[in-house]
Amino acid sequence: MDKDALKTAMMTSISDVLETMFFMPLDVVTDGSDTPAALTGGIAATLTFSGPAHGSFALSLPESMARDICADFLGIDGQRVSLKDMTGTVKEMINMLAGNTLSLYDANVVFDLGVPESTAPETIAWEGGDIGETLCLTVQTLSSHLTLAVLLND
Amino acid sequence: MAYNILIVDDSAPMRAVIKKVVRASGFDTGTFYEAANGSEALAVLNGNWLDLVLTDYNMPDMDGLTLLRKMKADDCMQSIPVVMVTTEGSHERVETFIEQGAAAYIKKPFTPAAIRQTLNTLLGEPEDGQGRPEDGDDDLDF
Repeated sequence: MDKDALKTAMMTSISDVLETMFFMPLDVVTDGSDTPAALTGGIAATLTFSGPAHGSFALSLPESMARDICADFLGIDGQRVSLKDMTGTVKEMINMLAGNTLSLYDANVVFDLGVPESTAPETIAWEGGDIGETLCLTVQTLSSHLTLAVLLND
Repeated sequence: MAYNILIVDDSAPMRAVIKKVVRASGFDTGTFYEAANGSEALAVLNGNWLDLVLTDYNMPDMDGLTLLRKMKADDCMQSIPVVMVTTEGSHERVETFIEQGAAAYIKKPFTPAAIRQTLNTLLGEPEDGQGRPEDGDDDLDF
């Protein structure tokens, strides 16, 4: 995959999804080699994709941000938000981020998305390691930050 | 007329958001039914009168396209409008949805206005006018 085009699609997708569905304007998008947000103790989800290229998306955010997003999304008080609510919302968020990223990258190509899975942030291979190459974006919102990565399997 | 609506999505938060947006669009809604995949949706459809189905595509057990095909092959269900609400954005897949009989396609992330406009097209304007754009619900919070 063309990594510059993929990165542009990731940035646009993050902006579209956060601003349209979660009413969360972005402040700064930082590139990649920065430390991913909430490597421990946060809420994370992964989602595999296949097609002309295959790999997985990973999303991580601090629990406080997940709680705020979930409360806004569901229209409930933050104190009533359960862990299940938060993981469900984060899984839907990665589903939208991944689907949008891939269709923005190339709408003439069909990618198949897997089902979002909750995971612990520390289990994600943010640096790719032996698996393949990773594109990682950390986004600063007005009050917090999140990290979206694409792990490309070669 | 009160419309019975089935929302099919494996994400419980997304089902809740869609229900909230539909309710806020001013339509006279009857019963909301929910299903987490196509199989559950067919069970609901077999036992209830439905006026509209809003379904995701990518779900475990039975995806939204399979649900759509099964509905269009069934004499009792084929006239029910099916709206695909999905992150799927490839041209080929959207064309497939329409070719297989989807009444409309809404891409996630969506605005409340996108849902409302689609419902207006399929069900007609709400009788009380609450769903019209001039009422300012473009600012409707999810």
